[in-house]
Amino acid sequence: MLIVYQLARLRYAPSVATSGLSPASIPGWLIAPPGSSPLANPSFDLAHLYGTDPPTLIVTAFLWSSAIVLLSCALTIAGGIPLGLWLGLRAPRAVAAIVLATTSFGLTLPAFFIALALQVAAVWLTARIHSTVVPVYGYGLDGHLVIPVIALSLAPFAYVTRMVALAASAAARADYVRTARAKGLPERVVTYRHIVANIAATLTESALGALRIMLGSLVIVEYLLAWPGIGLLTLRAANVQDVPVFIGCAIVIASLFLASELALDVGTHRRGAVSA
Amino acid sequence: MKIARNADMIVGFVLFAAVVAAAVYGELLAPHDAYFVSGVLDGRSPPLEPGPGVPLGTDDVGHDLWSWLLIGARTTLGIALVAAVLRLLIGGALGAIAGWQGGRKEVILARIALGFSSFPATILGVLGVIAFNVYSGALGFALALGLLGWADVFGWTRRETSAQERRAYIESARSVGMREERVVLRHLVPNIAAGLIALLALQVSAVLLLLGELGLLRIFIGGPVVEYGPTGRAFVSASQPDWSGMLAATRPISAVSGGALWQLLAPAGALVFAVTAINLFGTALAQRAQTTNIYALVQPKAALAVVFVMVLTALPLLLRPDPLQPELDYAQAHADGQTVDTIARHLVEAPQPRAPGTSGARAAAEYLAVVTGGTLLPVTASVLTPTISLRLGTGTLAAGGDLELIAEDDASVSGPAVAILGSPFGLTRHGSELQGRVAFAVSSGPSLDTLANTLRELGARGLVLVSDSSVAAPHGRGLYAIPVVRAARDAILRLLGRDLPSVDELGNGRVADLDVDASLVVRVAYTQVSGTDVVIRRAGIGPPDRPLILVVAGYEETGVIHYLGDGDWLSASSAGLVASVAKTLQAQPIRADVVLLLTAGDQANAAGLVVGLEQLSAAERERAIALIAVNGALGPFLLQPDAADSGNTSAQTAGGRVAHKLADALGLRLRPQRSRTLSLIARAADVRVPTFALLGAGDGLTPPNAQTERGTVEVLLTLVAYLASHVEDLRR
Repeated sequence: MLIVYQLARLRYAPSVATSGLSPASIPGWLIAPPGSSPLANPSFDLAHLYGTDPPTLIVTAFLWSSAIVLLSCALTIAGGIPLGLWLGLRAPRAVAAIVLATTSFGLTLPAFFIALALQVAAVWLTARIHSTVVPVYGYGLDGHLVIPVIALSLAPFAYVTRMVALAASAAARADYVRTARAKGLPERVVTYRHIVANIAATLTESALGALRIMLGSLVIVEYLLAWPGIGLLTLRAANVQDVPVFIGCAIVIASLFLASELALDVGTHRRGAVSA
Repeated sequence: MKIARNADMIVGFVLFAAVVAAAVYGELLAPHDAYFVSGVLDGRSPPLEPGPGVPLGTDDVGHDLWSWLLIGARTTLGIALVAAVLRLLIGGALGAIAGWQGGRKEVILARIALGFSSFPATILGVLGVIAFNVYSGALGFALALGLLGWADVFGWTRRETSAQERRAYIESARSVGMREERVVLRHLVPNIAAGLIALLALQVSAVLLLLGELGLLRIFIGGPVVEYGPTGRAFVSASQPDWSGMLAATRPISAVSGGALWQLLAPAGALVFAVTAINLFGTALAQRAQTTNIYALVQPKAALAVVFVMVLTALPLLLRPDPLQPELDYAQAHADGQTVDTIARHLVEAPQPRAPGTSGARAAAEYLAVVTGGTLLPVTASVLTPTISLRLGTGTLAAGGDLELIAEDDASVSGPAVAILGSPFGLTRHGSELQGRVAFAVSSGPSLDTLANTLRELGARGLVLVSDSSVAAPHGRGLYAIPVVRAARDAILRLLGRDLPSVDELGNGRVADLDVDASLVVRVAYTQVSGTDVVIRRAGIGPPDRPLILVVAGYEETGVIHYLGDGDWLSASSAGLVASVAKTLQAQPIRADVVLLLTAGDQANAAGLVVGLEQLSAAERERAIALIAVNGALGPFLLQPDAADSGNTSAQTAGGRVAHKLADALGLRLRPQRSRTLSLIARAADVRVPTFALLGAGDGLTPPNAQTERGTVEVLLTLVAYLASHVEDLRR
């Protein structure tokens, strides 16, 4: 990572970022002023710009990111798993087929497209009813959360729903489920003790997979919606060659990824062992 | 029944075929040339909304977005395919090694892959592409995205391989004494082929989406290019058609809140469409591959059929002549040493540097008239002439050499001089007090607009940009919140008698008293200037149906303060360059008649141009098809040394891009730049033609050399030839 970063630094000396975290001007971050010589662009101290130190800057950005990521995770898990189970076990076949087809389309929709579409919708709606429905960009623990959270969670939601539904319907056809039913166990027990317990590994895997998808689209969503999180900070640090902040961000993000990877390994192996 | 069962395959195939068709035949299908600018003749100003002729609207320059989507499909999808194949090859091979043999190799490879996968693809993509150089073209993008993104493929292949290795069929293959390579190729590969196909499709779409994200971050082939609209509003444009560049050229926030939404939806929609098509088809194909032995497909007959279909597909492309080829050949034919020699000779003979409206200008005009056989025209014009002076302590600087006007407004301000360090955000944060002060910006900072606005809010009266501060240089003068001038650093140091403080010393966002008073006086007034301009007709103007092309060139570059030091070559060389280009144009068998209008100086340009255009007869005005302006000293920066070496400054300018295109084997495409000022001037003289400006706005540091001079002539010749052969397009 850092090697690539250093290569990029050697190759490209970008312009000094022209804005603070003020939303409207952020998309100008990469426009070099015309005629500017790359040599004339010195590195820049982001922490200094905000009158703070790199750790505080990184932690603040991390907390802002956590707000939308945690909310999106909650939404994905609380919504996707029950929906997936219902689709796999109870839903009429036609409904399940239609919803699953929709999820496979939802998976292909990039987060940036969803974010842009939601912005357009919000602007349109605001124009229709002459009052602001949700803020189109910017940050704050209020209506500002709506668009980033939906944009972040839609693809993971589709992913979790799909994984769970497929695993549940496969498990429902398994021999041990038939045996359980033959024993006359109540349907509730069959569902929770047998089916859900056996696809627990898939549940963990899908939840962590969803987290990875989310983290992957975090950068572009934060950038487009001017959310002052760790993804945007990393971009800005790279742009103005603020090495300490960039390295700090890289470590935080990489740790998150590694933690999710570790959790995936631990979660799936342990569950796998139990079900075997 | 059969159709219903294969619905996914059929739908997937149709959509996929549409995407492939766009990638292969896009250029044939596109209604317009990539560099065709809509709305030139009818005076509508881009961006145009979707409507007749432009189904998806145009971008800010006026390019037809539908054509750009079709033409750009090949580049974008090509990058995605190459990068995905690279990922599959690297990730697949390493994954197979790790999964198949296990042990220490697996541990090491898995750790490496983990390193690559533990970072968001977007950021890795940004850094990778920048490391490979944004200007390195499609291959650089494909390599960057391919080499850095193989971790997912690695993970899948590793899991799949190690799972398959434990299966009975592998064991039995081994037990009959099959060699390992044979086991892998004959048994493992066919068994994971289905997954590999699905994986390839997924990777292609992943790279496509990544390209979209990079585009939104304004990282795309050729890099961002800043251009200026009629009102001076800056916008980003792409130098060549490609979907991520199209996304980059949008302003998402303003687009979604009532701006040019179509600009955003066209490329984003195309990306989503392509991703959906590729995923659908890939999944459908993978499902069928599960029940088919892929080696059964590789029959000689089948392979022959595939080759045949491919040749058939490529035939229309191979047979189609490059529409620009004659022009490129034509320009190439003149890209010989002779042209450069001519220029060099005229450079030596050209008169010395001079100021506008002086006897020197007349001498230069006479020189040009004699050398090129042109007609001398006397021009009298009212021009805005600024007088500026900056007093610092006891010394005074006046315009010329050391002082340049930037804010175009009358002003007279004075106050204690202070140096401001770093960004205006820092100033705001530190609550800097600038009430009644004259600020000297001595270090790097943001755009002048932002700086001037912030300073006004903080109460500053005026702003002096000390010339080596890298505050974004304005593109010509403009209106700013407070009076702004730019002064040479040496001159300021001389007046101060000591060094200026630096950011390193005091920190960002700080203010340092300079302990002297400063006063800044700006007077802008109209004055009458008499000048002399030259109109050159080509010998023997042809039949009335021959197109007539008007070329305007300035033979004197003024209004540019050479605070950078040895900038005088600009004035010195311009008359020589113009003379050479005029001679070269006259000597060529161009398939059009050319009238050259040579005008002196920035200030007199407009007046001289109008007077020159008024010399045309009514019949000539009817025949005119285009007006080309070559700015300043004939765009000395049109062609710069290799972009990779020079920090790519030239690629960021319109003229630079034209030159870049021609420079690749005398280039790919010509991209005439529409010039609004020029079209206003043309209208004033009642000449209704599309106007093009070849702008050169380089770093101001590189003197012209043989390459730049030759480039100038080549670009101009090619543009003239291009226009001559596209008469119908232009008149349409």
